[in-house]
Amino acid sequence: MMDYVKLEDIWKEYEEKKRKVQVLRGLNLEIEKGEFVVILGPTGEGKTTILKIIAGLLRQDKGHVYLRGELVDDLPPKDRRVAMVPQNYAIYPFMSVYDNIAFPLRVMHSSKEEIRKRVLEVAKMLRIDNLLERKPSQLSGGQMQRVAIARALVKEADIILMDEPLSNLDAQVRVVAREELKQLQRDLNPTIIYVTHDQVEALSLATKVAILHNGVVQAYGDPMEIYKRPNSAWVGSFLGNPPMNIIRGEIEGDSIIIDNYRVALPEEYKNLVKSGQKVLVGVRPEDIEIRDDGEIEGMVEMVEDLGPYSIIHLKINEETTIRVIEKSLSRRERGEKVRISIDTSKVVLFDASSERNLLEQYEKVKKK
Amino acid sequence: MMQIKKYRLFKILRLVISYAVLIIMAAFSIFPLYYVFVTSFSNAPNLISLAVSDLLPKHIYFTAYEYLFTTNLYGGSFPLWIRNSLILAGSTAIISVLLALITGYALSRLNVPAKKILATFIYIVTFFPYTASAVPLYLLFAKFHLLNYIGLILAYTPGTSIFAAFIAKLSIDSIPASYEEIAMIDGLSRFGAFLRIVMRLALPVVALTALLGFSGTYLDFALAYSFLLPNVKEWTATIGLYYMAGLLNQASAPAYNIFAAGAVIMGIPLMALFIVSQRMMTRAYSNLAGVKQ
Repeated sequence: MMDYVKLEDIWKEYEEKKRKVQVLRGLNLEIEKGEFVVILGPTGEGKTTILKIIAGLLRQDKGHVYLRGELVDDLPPKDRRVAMVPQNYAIYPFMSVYDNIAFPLRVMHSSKEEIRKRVLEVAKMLRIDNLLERKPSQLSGGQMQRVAIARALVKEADIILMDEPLSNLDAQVRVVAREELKQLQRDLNPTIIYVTHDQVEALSLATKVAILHNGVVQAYGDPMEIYKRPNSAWVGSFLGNPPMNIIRGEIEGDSIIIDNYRVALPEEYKNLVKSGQKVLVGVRPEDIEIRDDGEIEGMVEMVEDLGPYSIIHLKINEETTIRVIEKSLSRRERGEKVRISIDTSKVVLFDASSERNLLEQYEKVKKK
Repeated sequence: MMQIKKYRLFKILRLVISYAVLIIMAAFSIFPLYYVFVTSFSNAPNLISLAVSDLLPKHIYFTAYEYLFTTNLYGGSFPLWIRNSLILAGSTAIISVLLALITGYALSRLNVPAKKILATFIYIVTFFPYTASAVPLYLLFAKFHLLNYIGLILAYTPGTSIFAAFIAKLSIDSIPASYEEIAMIDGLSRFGAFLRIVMRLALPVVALTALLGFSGTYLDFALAYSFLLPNVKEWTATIGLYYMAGLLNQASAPAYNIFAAGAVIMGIPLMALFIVSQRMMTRAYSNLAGVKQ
């Protein structure tokens, strides 16, 4: 067991306006040393709660937290040797930037020269060494974020918790900050647990992404792997923008019947399904092509022009709408009839009742 | 054209009226201070002998000040009583600040049982004038042998801090919890984070509470009189002044020039505290930044 951070069966309940809300329901998460794990989930699903439980600011109702292989349930925050960058940065307004960054070292009673050396080193690394004399009120959002990261790095904690640190930045600054954060993690190699609701951040930053929903981790692993092969219909429809199309279908021989149309059954699923079985077909909007000889016909219901591409909502029947990404610049009109073709090699099939990936279920059986 | 002219006239008129009102108000509030100041430098002990022409004094006498600084009354003296008052008021201020902020912090941040009821109760208690409790307090404290400074501080502190606790709660409510959380992660205990971060961020309330606690105690007569009367060496400046000015000539009215001189001397520390705390309040508000909203 070399898990650097481990959450074991964590339960947490809040009381909100006299109503009890179960935020975390038996959450498990194992993180190895040096990983950049992004916990991704919709707002209000307890992402920040997880960070606070790891830091020791909140006590879980049930379950255990292990840091560096040790049980830390009874350790107060100050003894857990973690650092945190909160969403609002929480830079003390009454101290200069230098004093803010030096604060953790002062609390540890480091010597004056040591503090000066460390603060200058970290400030130089984050390119804020020219701001050290300023007051926080004179900083821009991006600068504040750097100061907050500097304060987290200065005490050399090897576990850093980040609570949506980029969400307050402008779009352009955010792209740069994201790249710098990635570089920083590569250079210093701390274990970072980063919480966000922004998928782009999750996909671009994480070495591993954990998708949180209903109080448990729904999927955990390589972000692109989860993107390509979601283990459940919910994960598929949550991850990605525009989300994955989840379409009802039925197996008939070597093909899937969607409405009145027939689509070839992907090779890898051939042995897993039988005729007459109801399935959910998951297909990414970018894996669908608009072409005149396509096997499915639909009516254009809505067009979202996003610049580099457009998202076209096609109505197949009363209950099914398929989103398609079209990269060409041809303009579509509402009500226009269009034929599409699905790239079946990229299709994922889910069980109609459990909504789990059929391939995953099969692999579980095989392992046993 | 007419419209603009009319508007301009209206603007000037408005300015004239508001300045007139402000000047009258200022005169009303400054005049008593000036009157006390002038009286303290006169050698006439009663108010009647002051004519309108005396408002601009022709001679300055230091007799009242001299009397206050040199007279020994039953073994006590005015400088001693001022010192007593400062110690008493300072202690009350410090204890009030700690008590009020700890209470406010608990009501704002911690999971105290029946928190809402407690907060409402505290709010209601602030409506009662605390002099109303002077007699019951005297009887109670006499039983516990607390008719001394400790008893007085115990009696003064809740009066200030219960009101300040309510303000502290509101103020701490508006401070994001992430400040303390970060401080706790960075190595402080909860109490350490409270002392070094929350108290500093709630500085306006700290200043206000200190000011209320200090001036309330410093200027109190009723409670101090009932608690400390038998022991002259422990008198506060208010009791001392009352007797010094009142006993000078028992047959006539109290000596107002001595009263005035005492008031001026007593006003100096208060004035200093006001200036300091006002600066603390404005500065604390001006750098209440540092989080991105």
